[in-house]
Amino acid sequence: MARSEYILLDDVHRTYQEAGRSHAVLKGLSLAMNSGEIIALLGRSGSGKSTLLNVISGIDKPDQGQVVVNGIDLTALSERELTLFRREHIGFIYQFFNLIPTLTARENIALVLELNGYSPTAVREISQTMLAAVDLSQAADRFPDRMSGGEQQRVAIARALAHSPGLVLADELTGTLDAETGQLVLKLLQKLVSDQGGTLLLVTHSLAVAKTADRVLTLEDGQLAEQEGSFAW
Amino acid sequence: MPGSLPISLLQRSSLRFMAHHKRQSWLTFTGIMLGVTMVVAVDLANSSARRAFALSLTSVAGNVTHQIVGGPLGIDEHVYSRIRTELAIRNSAPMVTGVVRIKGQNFRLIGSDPISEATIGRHVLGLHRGELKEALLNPNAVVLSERGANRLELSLNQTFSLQVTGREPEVKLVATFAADNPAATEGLIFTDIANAQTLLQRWGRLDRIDLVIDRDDQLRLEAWLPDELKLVESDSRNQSMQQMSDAFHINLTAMSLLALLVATLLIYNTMTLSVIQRRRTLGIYRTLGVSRGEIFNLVLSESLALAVIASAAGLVAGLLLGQLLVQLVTRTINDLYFSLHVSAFLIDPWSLLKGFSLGIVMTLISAFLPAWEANRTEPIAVQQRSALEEQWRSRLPFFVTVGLVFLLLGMLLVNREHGSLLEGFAALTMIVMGFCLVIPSIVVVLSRATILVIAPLPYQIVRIAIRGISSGISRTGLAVAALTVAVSVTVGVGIMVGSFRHTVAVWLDQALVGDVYISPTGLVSDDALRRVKQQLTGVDGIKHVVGSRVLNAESEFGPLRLMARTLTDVDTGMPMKEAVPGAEQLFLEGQGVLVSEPLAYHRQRGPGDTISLHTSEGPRQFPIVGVYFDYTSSQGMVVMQHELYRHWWSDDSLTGLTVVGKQGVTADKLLSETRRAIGLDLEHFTVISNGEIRQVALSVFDRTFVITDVMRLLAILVAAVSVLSALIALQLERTREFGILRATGMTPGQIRLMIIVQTLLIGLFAGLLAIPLGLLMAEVLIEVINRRAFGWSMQQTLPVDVLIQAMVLALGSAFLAGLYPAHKAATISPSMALREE
Repeated sequence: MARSEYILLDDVHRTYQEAGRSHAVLKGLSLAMNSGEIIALLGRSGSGKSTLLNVISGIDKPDQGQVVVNGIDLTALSERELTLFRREHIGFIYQFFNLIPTLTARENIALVLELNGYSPTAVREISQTMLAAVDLSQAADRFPDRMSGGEQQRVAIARALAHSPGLVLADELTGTLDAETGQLVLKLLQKLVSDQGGTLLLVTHSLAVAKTADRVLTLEDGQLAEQEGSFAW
Repeated sequence: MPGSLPISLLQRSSLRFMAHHKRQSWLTFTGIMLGVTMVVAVDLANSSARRAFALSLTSVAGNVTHQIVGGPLGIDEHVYSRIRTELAIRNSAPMVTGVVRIKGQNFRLIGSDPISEATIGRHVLGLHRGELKEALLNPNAVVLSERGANRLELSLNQTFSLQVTGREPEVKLVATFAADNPAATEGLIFTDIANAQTLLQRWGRLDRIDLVIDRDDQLRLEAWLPDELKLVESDSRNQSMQQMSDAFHINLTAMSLLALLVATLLIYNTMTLSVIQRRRTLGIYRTLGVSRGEIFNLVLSESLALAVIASAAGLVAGLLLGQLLVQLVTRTINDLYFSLHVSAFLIDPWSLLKGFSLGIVMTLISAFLPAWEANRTEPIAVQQRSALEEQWRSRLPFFVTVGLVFLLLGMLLVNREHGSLLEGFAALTMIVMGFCLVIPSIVVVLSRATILVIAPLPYQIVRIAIRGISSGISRTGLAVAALTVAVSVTVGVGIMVGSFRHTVAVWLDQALVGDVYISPTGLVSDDALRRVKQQLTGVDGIKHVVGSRVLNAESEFGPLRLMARTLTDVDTGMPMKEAVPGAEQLFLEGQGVLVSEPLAYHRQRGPGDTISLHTSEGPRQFPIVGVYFDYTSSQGMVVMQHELYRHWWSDDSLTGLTVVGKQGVTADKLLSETRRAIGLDLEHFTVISNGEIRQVALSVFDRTFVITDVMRLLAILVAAVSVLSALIALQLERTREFGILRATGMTPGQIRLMIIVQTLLIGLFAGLLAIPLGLLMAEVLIEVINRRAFGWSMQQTLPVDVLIQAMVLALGSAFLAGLYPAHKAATISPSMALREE
């Protein structure tokens, strides 16, 4: 399968002001990620992994450098355009699931479809399909607080993939799950992403998770490095 | 590319949020509802009173264009027949009116001529019906409305007695009628004009002649009318009556709007609370691609939905409260202005629409900032909890600057010479808003100062509590502001009422120079009072008896009260405000008149000016030699020597007597001597001592301000709910902090203590700040609002009890509002709280 560059980061800098002092998180970072590729991103706490996800998803803007996702230069977009870009092209999965507590499992999935302007019929059908894909058809009408952590994470995966985004960003996907559930969830996510031909960027501390990726990158001192061999954390 | 955003799931999520957070939704609901309730209730009470007044005017005025009014003795009835014969003006109807009592209730007796009534097209009674005409022409026949008859439990052809002119003549109810507007005629009793003249002992006299005439007839009449009579336009006369109580209505409306302002702060607080609680959810929305504008609209549409429901509930509650208020409003109008009978509570759709719209608009305005706050929510990945407070703190200097500008503008408006009443209210609003904007900064300073004061003490809990106030200033600042405004209303209005009462009490001491006052119970003939005066002359213990005549006289400003007094010594009994040199002598010699302070203020007349009064010989200018303090009427009064009055009005009658006792004679002895001297005629007169008048006057005064107390209590209630919502917001934001404190060993009791200390401090700060704001408010109410509304000046007093009451109120309401949040915070599960992000 022919692969093209889906994400292209070039000389990205991001500095924060904290208590009157500058703190450079990303220092001239560059990254090329192909369509359909799965990359695991490792790094110590505070190394800037979340900042990198924010920059790639258009939540945060770099001070300098270029961020191109699916051929769109994010640095040139307005706040509203970035929101619409995120809505259409990105699927987010978090360690703490971040489901909407006042919506049922089905509605959580339907929300992104509605946001993307799908017809009511399509919303219903895709929600149902996604629920079945994560094996939660029976929990469709349950609210998040009535679900286990593993179930909530599966709903989060279904929500992230429902609108077939080009890029899925997963931040500590298995952080709050036990090893066995974590593995199941990870396999499910990888399968679904690969079925849709999507691109997956996994931020993780887990070596086991990292090993399942096509490539492993390490973020250290504001720069990315290709990781090979054993991991220190 | 996605199409336009259908947000039904977002809205569904919002609705579920509201349903899951019932208490909070109730708080917002209550805030909006209370605000709308206050506005609607006051508005309906006002409009009911106004409408009743207008209806009672219409019921006896019809489509009359002009009226001929007479001097103190009314109009000779021959004038009426001459108008019809000599001037051939047929569209005219004579009328005699007076107050009578039936079964202890006041009614207005209307004597009219059924045939003439038809010529001016007045059919309020259905008098065009032959049988009714027939009935009315019978001697002693009267007609009541069906509702009036039911109220008095009278049936057709029943005979009953009226209390009038000191007698109790028998009359017969010959017919009842169903009025189109029962409220307008319920307090009226109709009879033929000849019967009315007999009942009121006004033989051969009319009170007025109603006319439906064009411009030509008007000119002819004006040229023809004898000097003692005046042709006035019906509308302008009614308007001047209405204007009398306008200031009172405006004051009430202003208080209701002040309550709405407090309610707005409450709505702001609760809406902010709902945004805080969902900051995480809103962050997720942002991550999923919901735009800022969509979140803004979502929060606003939630508020709109709540506003619609709560405003509707406010309308219902306003209708209920309005029924209570209309009684208070009517009582005050009856005490202060004119006799008004409001039995029907009129539901004015305009009042309802206004209240409803105000509820919606105020909610949307107060929800704007929370919605803006929500719209600034960052996607979940980059949320920082402290960002909001940081943002708020950075805006404090801006708030202070704007607040000071408002205060300055308010003070400039206050100090404007002869500004309008509305400007006065605008000034008051600016001062209150300006002060509110400065409050958060003052609270930060006060918190820091308190920490410095307790620095040497080992009270960590207190320290955490105080820091909580300054670190959560976006919540606590508003809570303090809401409570401060509500309590300052108590202080301001308390001082104003206290000062007013004190001024009136002092004035009564000065003005009541007589020891005993005598007035007829109804209309009695001039001879009766004159005879009593004769009877009292030379009675043991009586130094002298002074007669007076009080009447409504026509002036260049419309009808006003005129008092003619026979003064035998230099003490006029009228505390003077300002006067020309030698004013007393000029007055006693009949070379000038005194005008009351409200008249002087409203008409901008003072010593050295003149005032035009319509005498028996036509309009005459009278020099004003002095302005005296007077609190009997905001309409204004002119006082002149009896001799001067007699000269210009050819009227020798009296309406009251003042008895002055000799040195050393006790009030009781004088009262009993006076009563004995009057003898059998006593039942026709009210004989009352100086002390009793004082007591009655002050009780009327107190009654007048009952409605003010009701409004103050409601404002405090709204403020207490506001503090409660702010504290809940704080508690929610600090759930994790409480969890940590519990996990590190703080007991639930200590947490509870910490919150209570915090709320008491909020109450203390609000109480302390309410005092200067209240003093400022009192100053504006006394020197600007009341002056511009009523023309009264007051001696300002500073009742300590009002200040103590304010502190107790602030601390008490804050304490009560803090109990629930304290309980909630104390019962937080450490493990659950620590799981919160």
